[in-house]
Amino acid sequence: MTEIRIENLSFQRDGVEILDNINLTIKDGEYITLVGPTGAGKTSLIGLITGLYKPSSGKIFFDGIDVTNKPPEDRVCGVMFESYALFPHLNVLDNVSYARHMKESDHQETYHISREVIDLVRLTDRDAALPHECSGGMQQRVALARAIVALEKSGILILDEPFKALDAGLRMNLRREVKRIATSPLLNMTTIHVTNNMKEAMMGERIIVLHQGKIRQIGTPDEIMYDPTDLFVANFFSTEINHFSGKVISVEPSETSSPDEAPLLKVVISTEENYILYAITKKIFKEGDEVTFIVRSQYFKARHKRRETKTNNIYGKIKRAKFMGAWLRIELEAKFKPKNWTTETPHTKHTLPKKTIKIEVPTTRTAIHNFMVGEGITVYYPGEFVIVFPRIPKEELNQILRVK
Amino acid sequence: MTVINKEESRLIKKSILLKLEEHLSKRGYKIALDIIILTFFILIIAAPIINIISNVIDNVGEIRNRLFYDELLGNSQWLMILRSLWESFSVAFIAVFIDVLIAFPIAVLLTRGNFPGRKILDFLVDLPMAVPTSALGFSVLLFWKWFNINPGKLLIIFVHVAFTYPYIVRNLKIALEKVDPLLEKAASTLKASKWTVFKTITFPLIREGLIAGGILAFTRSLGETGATIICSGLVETAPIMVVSLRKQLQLPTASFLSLLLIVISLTLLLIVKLVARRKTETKKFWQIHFNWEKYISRPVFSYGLKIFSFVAMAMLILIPSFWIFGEVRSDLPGELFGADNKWAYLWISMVNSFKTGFIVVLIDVVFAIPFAMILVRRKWGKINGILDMILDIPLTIPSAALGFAVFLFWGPAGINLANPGVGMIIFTHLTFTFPFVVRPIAAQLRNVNKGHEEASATLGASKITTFRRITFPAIQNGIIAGMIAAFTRSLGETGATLIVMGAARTVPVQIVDWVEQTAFSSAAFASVVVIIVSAMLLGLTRIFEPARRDFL
Repeated sequence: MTEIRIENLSFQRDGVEILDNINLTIKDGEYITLVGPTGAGKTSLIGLITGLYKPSSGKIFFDGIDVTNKPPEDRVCGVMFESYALFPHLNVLDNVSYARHMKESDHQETYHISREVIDLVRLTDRDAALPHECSGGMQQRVALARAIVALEKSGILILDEPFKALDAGLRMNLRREVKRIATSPLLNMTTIHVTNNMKEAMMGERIIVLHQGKIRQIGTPDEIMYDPTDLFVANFFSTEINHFSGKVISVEPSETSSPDEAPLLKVVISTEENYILYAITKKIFKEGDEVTFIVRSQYFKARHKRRETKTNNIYGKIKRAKFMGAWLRIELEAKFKPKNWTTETPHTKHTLPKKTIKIEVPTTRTAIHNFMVGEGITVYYPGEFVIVFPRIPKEELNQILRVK
Repeated sequence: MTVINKEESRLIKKSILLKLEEHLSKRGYKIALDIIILTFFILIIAAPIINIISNVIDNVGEIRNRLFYDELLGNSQWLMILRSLWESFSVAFIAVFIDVLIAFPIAVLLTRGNFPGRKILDFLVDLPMAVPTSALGFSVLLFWKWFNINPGKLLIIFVHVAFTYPYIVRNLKIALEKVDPLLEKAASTLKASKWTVFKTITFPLIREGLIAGGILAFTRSLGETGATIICSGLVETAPIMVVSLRKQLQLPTASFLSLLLIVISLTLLLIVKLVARRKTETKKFWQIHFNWEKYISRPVFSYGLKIFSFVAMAMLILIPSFWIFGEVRSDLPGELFGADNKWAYLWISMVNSFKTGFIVVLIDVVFAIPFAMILVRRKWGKINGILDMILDIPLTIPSAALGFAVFLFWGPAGINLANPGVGMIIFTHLTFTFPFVVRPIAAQLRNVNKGHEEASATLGASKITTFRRITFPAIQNGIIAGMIAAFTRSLGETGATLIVMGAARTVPVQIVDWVEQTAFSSAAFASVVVIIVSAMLLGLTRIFEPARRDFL
């Protein structure tokens, strides 16, 4: 049971800035996920917390005690490495009880504790097997058990991309299992779970989003989902996003506001393409502001009726449709509507540029035949699911969207 | 008349070649080739050793009389043999022990360290392995003269440490490269201090590499002649005794001692291999960790250890090995071009050395490629394992004993195909260089993607065409590396050459002769020349280094 506090932590290697001024507090007993794309600095941050690396500046506190200069063996971290790093020459039991042997302790007691943890991770009857004789799932349990034994049931458990090497089915099972073990009332652990998978990140009570050596956002899963601090976070936690740039034409209080929360506003914009769209948001905008709307592809609903005059409705022709199993991924080609509020528009009705909108709709047996290429459909999205940012320039937008 | 242009004639030649290759790929030729290769292998490597056994059995009465019931000497010769064996084994044991002590930190430094000049240090550490031992021995002798250490057992130990050290470091390096540094990191997060990590994780994982290097160093030390003659003074090790018995033409006694050396080293090899292979039981001793392990894990001590072993290595190996560069004196021209014309002798010995080296390497390569194919590709079950084991024998047994075995087999006493001289030197060198060529080729062959060969076969290429176009390019580096290693080894050999050379001289033998005649300047000059040649050869191996594989 440990609280971790990190102050102004920076880390450089070979002259390259890997982590830049990290400030972070992880609460006692919390299950927190650390997420970010490859090269974000996740592994370095873990290395600094465990003591495998030395920071260039800044301090790390465990329960208020400065551990910045302590070697790894004197910290209370148990790490389950991405490749498990099981000792190939030691059998399962020796691997699991390794940390217990490092201090003069009763062998009987060591055996009992190891057994207890082995039972906890449901890894019985394989004590004498060598790691290479175990399957991938079992190796993972050994690695987990080893880390837990090292902690002696309390401390910081670090899971470094634990499910990366497993296939999808096994991953689902183990995810549930690991969460069960890590938050087990028998143990008393603070867990840091490193991942680059957005679904896995949702396992955490809180999520830390790391990108280019900086913390972009820390928050609960729903905060990260609905109130991302910037476009990077929004994009990272979506399969596909659509963006609209436009000018706010009216702001009014939303009727869906509940009294005990911050008041929600209904922001209506007229986009460059001359659609009238609205969003329900906590952020405050005023008339005339330039904004960017972000709409995730799966929030769209599609129907055949042509209803483009209503707000949040867009009409277009299906350019591509791809059956993805549970989802049908559709690329819609929407035409710009001729603008009626300016006369500067150089386009005639026929030369209007086209906008591609990507949507995902749940498939049914008939949906595949309903949405054929070339057909015209109307798509609609509810205003609550829109994320609004102050206007993001085109180049920056494209650059961020390319990251994924 | 039709005009055949260049392109067409090239194509015609090519199709003739392809047809020839297709014809030669037939089964009959393959069997013939197998028989030729295996005959060569048995004649060159196994036959001399078997022959020496029969020779000893034939002369058992005479040997008994000479050793135990001599009219004048009683059993003093037997006691001398025992004495020489004791000297050899004690020297080898102490040398390997010192090697291991100073090898660990340096091997760690060379694999894990990241400092400027690492490659140069790596090269320098490996160099004594490639340099002819007699040149090295002379250099070491001159260095320790400064400290008033005269020829004797101590000096023998020093020189053996110098040339066996690279074998240990090299094998440790290869083993260390295979250890995932993440395992060590994982152990340190599991509350193990640095020293304990080494004891419980790193050491068990590199133990086999250490044993392989240890065996190699031990057998090299046991069999060394050239440097030992220079540094021995009055001490007589077993290989030296073989040489001197041969010089005194006491052939039965010499063959007895040779057989003894062969049997002892092979038994030793077998025991160590069996011990190393045995699956270690879960030992409880590693689970006890003392408080001082944590204490000595502090950076001060690890730096101290590194500095200590670096200094020890410099003092024992690097500086003595290259001390000779400072010993080429101004009286050199006078001595070299003096009345007895040493320059001519040096020139002739050089020609002999290089001639031997080239011929040996050429013959080796011709037979080594098919032999490596047999070793790696044929599924002959146990026979492959046996061939593999026999291949290790020339690496294990003292070269003087091997030389004597070859002398008995090919020489006037045996099938009388060669007389002592350059021809016989070639036969001897073939025996102990053959494994050096086969090993890297076999290692490369194991890495060849079989899919490529199969693809080539499905595209209509005959077996030999497939070999020429697909397999050969893939093992090219192995062949070159093996050739250079064999050449280096042939260039540096003294013990076996001494026994079979007759009136001919190679450079290492010439150096020994000159040191005995106290023509130090000429000896130093010859040493410098061969050291430079070997350094260049080692540099070449670095370029063509195939996939690393432990020796043995």
